[in-house]
Amino acid sequence: MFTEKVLPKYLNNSFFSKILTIFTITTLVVLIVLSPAVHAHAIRAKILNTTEYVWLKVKVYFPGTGPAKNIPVNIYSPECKEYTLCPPECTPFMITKTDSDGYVEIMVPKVEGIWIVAAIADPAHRVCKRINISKTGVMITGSESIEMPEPLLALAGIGYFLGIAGIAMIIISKRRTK
Amino acid sequence: MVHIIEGALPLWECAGGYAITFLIIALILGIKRIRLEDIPTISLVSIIFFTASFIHFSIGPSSVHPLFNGIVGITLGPFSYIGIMIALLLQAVLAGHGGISTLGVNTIDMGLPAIIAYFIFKLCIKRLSNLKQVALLCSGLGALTVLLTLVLTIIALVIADPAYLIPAIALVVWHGPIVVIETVITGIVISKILKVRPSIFIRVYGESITKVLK
Repeated sequence: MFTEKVLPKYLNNSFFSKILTIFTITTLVVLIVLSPAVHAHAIRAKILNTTEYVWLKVKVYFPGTGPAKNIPVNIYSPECKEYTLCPPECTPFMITKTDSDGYVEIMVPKVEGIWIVAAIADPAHRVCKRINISKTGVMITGSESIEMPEPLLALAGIGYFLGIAGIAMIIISKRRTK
Repeated sequence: MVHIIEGALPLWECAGGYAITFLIIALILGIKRIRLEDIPTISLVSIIFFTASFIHFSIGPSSVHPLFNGIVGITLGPFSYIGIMIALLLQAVLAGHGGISTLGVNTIDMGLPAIIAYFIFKLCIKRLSNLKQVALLCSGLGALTVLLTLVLTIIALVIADPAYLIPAIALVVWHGPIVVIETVITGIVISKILKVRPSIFIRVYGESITKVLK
């Protein structure tokens, strides 16, 4: 009933069709701009605990597939000012490895500035976390991300593609009606 | 592994990747005009590439996933490059898979093998006479696209840092199961789509492709 009678009637209405097209395009653009930076595949390091001694417990894992076992983790002191490359092109302050559960414990001196923790599983799977140690406390910056279930992310992407296909089909339908 | 992440490549390489990608897109659009009727097909087929990356599993110290850029290349022809670029953009923005700065290089790594698969399929399809042969050809192309993607990714990584040559080559071994998976699935999927919906392929390869259905 709806698809056979109601929908074609509205789609043929040029004003409704225009509004629908503009609305769909705007929604797609706004959603893509505002979408959260979530990581589905790259290795992610999580600072599980920080204390006044700056003791860091880092978990490195591939979201969805489990821990990144026995992979190198490099720690760079605030002397390294390279923030664009991961890992930075500096001499590491410390080189360590994750255990069989993907964990690594790091104790760094309380030197103020930005410390970088870089985990490298292979040339294409690496992650860098910046740990800002200041007088006020310890702050983690860098690629911290929002946890979202993977099926939801896949569904969101499929939604965008269906949206693009939908817009094209609306325009095709409109042209054919004309 | 084939999605190079943010920060893995120097700025000049990222810029070069974008320049080559836009040049390829300009060439594609210059040679073949994109019709409005093609957009729904491009979008729907690109979903295969987009979702494949979410099916990942650990092998060795790395994590691998299927690509299916062979399926996209054979089905969409040259427009597969555009579809793959959009899918990679969505993967980077939504899932942090790959990166915005490395989008150009990633598109070359995965889009070029798709176009190569299209050209090989176009050349060979004239000589084939039944669906079984098509399935066999597509299986081979499925494996070839993965291997080409790996080679191009390794080149991109080694240009950035030659020290990555050995670990990058080791990754090819870990992608063995992916090559097998893509070999089987590409052959089955393409022959099934061709049987059920030949119109998709007629748009790209012309009416002559229907002779394999007889």
